[in-house]
Amino acid sequence: MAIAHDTEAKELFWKSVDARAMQLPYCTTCSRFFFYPRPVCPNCWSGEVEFRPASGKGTIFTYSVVRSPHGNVTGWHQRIPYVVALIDLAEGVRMMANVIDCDVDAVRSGIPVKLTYIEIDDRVLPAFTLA
Amino acid sequence: MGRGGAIIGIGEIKVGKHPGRTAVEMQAEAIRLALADAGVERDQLDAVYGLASYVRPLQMHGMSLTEYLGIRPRFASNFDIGGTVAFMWMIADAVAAMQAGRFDVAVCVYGDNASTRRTGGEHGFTSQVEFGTEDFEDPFGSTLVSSYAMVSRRYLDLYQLDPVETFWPVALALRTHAMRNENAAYRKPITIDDYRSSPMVADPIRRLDSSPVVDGAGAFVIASERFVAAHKPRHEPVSMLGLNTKTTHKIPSQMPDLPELGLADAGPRAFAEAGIRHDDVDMLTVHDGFTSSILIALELLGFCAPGQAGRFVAEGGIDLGGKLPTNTNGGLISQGHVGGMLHVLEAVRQLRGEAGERQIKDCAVAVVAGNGGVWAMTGAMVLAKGMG
Repeated sequence: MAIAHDTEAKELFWKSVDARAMQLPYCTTCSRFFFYPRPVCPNCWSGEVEFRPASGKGTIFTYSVVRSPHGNVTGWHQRIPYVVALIDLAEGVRMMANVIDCDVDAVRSGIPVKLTYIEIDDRVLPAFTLA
Repeated sequence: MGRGGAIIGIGEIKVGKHPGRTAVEMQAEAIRLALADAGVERDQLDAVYGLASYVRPLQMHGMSLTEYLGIRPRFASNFDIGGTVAFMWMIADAVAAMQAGRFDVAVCVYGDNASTRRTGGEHGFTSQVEFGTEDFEDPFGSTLVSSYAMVSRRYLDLYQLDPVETFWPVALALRTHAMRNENAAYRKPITIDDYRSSPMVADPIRRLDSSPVVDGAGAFVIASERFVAAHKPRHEPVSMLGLNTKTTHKIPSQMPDLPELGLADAGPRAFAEAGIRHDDVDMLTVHDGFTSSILIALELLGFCAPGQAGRFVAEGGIDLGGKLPTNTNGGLISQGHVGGMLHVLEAVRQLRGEAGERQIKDCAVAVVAGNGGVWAMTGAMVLAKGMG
């Protein structure tokens, strides 16, 4: 199965998030997930890429608690302090996402998290809660 | 045996706020200062290695700059590679062209009005172009600071370190250096109480861990061996003896773990090309976007064992008179963030023996190292007095 182009790869990902059933790109040639979505596998350059459901399991690789507004203004500024993290998914890929619905001071690297969703700036985003 | 060309002039404009001035205008001033320092006439300039503003980028910036200056060189460019690494490759490219006999005099320049040209309501560094983070990082409220904060957090976690004990000595060392630099934006003495009460921007990065957004510009002139022999420049030339670089990713979710960052690979290659060992290095300049950057670089370059750089800095290792004086201009953190260009100029100044009250005794070999993006492009180069 092939994905037509970048736009389709991104759309397939964000549509799955919008449906609150996140899928991840998977290369059927080298049998590995990868992230972020694109039509050619970055590990083996195969175009045999499909989307498969994410297990929703992960751990925090590293994180930061944003405590002062800076950078381009977004809906997150209304939620300060918020946690932005790099999540190691059970599928073997790493993605950036927020850790939500928790005491920000309880967040630590290496702890397990599970997938949920949050709506910010009128779009659904993948997010994680402490497992 | 020469290397094609050497640095014979430097120019650095006032760091701070330049309301109303454009980046091209400030770069043009830095070029005029560097040419005057080198004793080179405007009509002798063959090549302009420019790097456009990141806040308000100009496509094909090099030609805008040379047109603005009213000159018609052979070559003008926008050398957008990332952080301090851009200036390393400017030198490599210029001396290669000189070795081939393509031209004799080049100027390398960068300047930005990151402070006064921000759009209203924004804090910290912002840019008006896409950075590659739009799809899978920006939606999560990610910023350059929060990304570097995740790097700083990873550094603390890897070696089980305390944030204040680890990062405060870096901030203090840089501020102490800046107090000896008239062209540093932040020269007021700081105490550990100031550090502890400094606002947390993105945990564990406090404001005092960060490189402030400023306006500024710098330039340096490179001349061929032929030109140097014929014109006898007023300053002792400074040559690049070795260079290497490596990129591993662009956006933070794709970066390798800290010990595998590109500088671990590029640094030893640059040292080997230059034929130097760590003991030969008299000073270091590092692209210090944040305090953790210096610690990570000291370890990746092999000056400190993993997890030990904080102790090295706390014991005075990067101070004047320390084992390896580092960022003696105050660094991006206390001088102000001008992309790392001023780190090259500081190394040249120290090698020439013209650093005034912050001069390092008998400074013969300097290393310029660092990264662009969030450790995305990394590199190191070795500079030394003479024609190489």
